[in-house]
Amino acid sequence: MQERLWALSPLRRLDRQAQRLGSFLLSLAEDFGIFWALAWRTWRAGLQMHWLASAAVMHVVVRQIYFTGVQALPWVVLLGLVGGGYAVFQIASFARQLSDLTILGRMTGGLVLKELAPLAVTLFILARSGVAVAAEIGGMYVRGEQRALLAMGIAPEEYLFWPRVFAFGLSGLVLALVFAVCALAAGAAWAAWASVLPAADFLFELRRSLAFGTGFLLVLKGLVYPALAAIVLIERAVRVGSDPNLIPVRASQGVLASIVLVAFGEVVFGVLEGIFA
Amino acid sequence: MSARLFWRAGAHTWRLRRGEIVQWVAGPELRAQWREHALFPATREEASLWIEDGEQWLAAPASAFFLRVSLWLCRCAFIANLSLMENILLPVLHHGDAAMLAQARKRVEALASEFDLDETLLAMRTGSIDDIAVRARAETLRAIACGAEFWVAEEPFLELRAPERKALGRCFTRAACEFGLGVLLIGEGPYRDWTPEIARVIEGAPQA
Repeated sequence: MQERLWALSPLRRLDRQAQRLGSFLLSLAEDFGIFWALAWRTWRAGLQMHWLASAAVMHVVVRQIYFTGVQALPWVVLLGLVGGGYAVFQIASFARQLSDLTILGRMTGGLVLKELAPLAVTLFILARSGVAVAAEIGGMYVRGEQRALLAMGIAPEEYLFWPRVFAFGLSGLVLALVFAVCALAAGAAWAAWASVLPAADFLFELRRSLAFGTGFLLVLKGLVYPALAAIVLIERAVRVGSDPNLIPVRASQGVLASIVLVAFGEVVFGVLEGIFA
Repeated sequence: MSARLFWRAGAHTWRLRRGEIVQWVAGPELRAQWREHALFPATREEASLWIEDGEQWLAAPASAFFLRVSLWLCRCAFIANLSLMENILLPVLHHGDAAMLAQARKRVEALASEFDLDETLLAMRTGSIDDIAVRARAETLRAIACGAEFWVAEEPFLELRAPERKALGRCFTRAACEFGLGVLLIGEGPYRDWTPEIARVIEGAPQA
């Protein structure tokens, strides 16, 4: 009788909810632990620099840079010219309306260079290469290719993970810079063509108001966001185990988790900027 | 003194010389334990597979160890986005230098036809090669062409048909007798049916 009352009581429901919450938090902590362990092993493999002497790993590095960086270049140029250029043009128009051209440099630096360029490039890399990386690594684990690598004395961290993280980071950095240059050039040209602001004034205001910190954050975010996203994707992909049905599930989880991590990174950078400003 | 390959399970240690073929009968659990210590030994005492060559002692993860021992573990696949040639040369590509690579490549080109691996097959990406027998022949070519001194194969006859098993058995014999490799076959099957030249059959790991 007492047991039945306990089963129906609100305390029992609360107990269940607490158990669920506890399990969720524990699995979250476990996931973080696995993620940082994998990130640490990958960075260690990269920083040891044995890969520079390995023709096999260099081959993968070059292929990954070509796939993630070089092949993405025309798309990022287009994205920068159209999307970034339009954003800069809007800022220029806004500054002109307020008759305060100092806004131009501040907003272009704050919005386009510090935020839009690294974010747009990271999202583009995730959409184009992220899914491919997760599916490729997942497939390799299903087929047992990582076991073959181990049997040849080749660490998956060095041969599989580091080239992708490195390619994502390097391509992210270069593509973010390309995006920024294209956005500024297109914005200036657009503003001059629409008689909103002469190109010389635009460049003068931009140069006057841009700070070193803006360029530093563009470089840092351009490098860190894609590299972190690559580790998240790899961490999800290796969890496929031997079940091929899990490949699409893990790939989409990886992309979503990467987006969440980048959003979290934005908050962290915002807070740090607020502290050090 | 020529190099010798040692392997250990529990308190027992066995030895293999070059040119010798030995079968070690071990079940999946014992093999899994052994594999772990062969590939990731935390200390020298923990290592379950190593080479002794005079004063020299070599085990994983040393590059020199993987250049001298060709390991073929069960449930492994070739790297799908590499060609068969690249897969065969992968240990030398990773651990060796340019001279070793050139030598290994020459050996592959010279021996490929003897193992029924023509140029078209060698240039193909292994993701599109579905034949287990091709994999077995390529593993043989890898062990020979990459200049290994020992060849360790775990359950090599698994999933092969009778004629292919015989052919692979001949490969082991050839690797040992003609090329002087020490061959260690690990698994439960009666491998003498396919490789009669087996010098010793060692039963599992007797309890310490």
